[in-house]
Amino acid sequence: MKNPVNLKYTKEHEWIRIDGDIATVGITDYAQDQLTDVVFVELPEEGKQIEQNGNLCVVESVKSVSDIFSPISGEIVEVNKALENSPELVNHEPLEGGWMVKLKAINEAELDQLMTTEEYNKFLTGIE
Amino acid sequence: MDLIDTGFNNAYINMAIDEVLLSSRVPVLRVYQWEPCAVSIGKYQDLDDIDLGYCDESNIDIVRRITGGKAVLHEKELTYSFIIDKEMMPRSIIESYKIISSAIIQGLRTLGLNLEMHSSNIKNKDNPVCFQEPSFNELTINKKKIIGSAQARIKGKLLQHGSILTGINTEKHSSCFKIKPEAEDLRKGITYIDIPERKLKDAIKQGFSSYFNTSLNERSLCNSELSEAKKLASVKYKSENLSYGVQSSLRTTSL
Repeated sequence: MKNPVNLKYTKEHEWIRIDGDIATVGITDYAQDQLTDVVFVELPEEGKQIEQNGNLCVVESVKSVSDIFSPISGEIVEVNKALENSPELVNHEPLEGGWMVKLKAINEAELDQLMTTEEYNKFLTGIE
Repeated sequence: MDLIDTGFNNAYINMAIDEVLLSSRVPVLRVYQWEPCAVSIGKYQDLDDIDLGYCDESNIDIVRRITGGKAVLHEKELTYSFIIDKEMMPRSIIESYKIISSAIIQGLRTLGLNLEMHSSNIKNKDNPVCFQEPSFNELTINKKKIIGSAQARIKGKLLQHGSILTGINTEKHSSCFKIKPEAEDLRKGITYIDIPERKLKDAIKQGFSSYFNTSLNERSLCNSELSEAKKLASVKYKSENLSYGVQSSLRTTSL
């Protein structure tokens, strides 16, 4: 799966997309592939403040639970409730229907620390 | 790599010690056993899977693990836990299982045992019984599951623990579940190693030492680790049973 150019990425393989003052966060195709079948996503509460690199949610797959981190700080304004019944969306549509949370109050300086698509693709090449 | 043998403890202390060891600066291999026997359930497993009445009557403690996976009755077994910086292991969960399984295979080979890694994933994700189905790179002997394992990647660490069966009471195992698996089916799918636990411990230690090409520094828990574990056992693991309802309400589908 190609990594879209309008996203930014972390070294922990989360992606973030900015639409106005809202940031949508999920995990990349590479990340979901390493997790294999996602069977449960513990989503955070809406309204919660999160720090950059703070624990955003927890994903269970193949008998492992893994922390997912927030690429930037902000307030959680929406969580993807579809994942409660369909956690497999994280595997099937990691960059679309498998999004996890939406944040507001975006910190531009934090965004600048994240990787562009080109940088992330290079980063992936380095670890594969 | 530190090696810690904590011997027999109750379920709450056992799970608390694993959590405390997540703060270790060096990799840790811990071996331990359970007294009294207990059922551990996965972090997100529905408590409704368990026959609470039976467990209560039979003095079987119930504890929720911080790792994923399904329920295990810990009775006749040697349990290991392995804690390491997650950056030192592959990001792929399947690959990391493979590495830890390889260390165990190497160790148990010294006892003349030939374990195999299971090559496919669990078929029935709704099955609440850990030992009823092997997952990717879990260990079997003659296609029968012998070690049940589960993992967490939290606080920058990878924690994997696993139960190496040294015996099994299939009727008791089955009775712990609300929907009881046939004891005969469990007998067909599970096996155990009839070897004194001391020898088994030595083999596991040897396997990790040799596979990771490192010496093991045998130590006990320090006082601060022990007191932190006792506190966690009481405020989290023992009392968490009461909040199962909250956990269950998070779930809208069963795993």
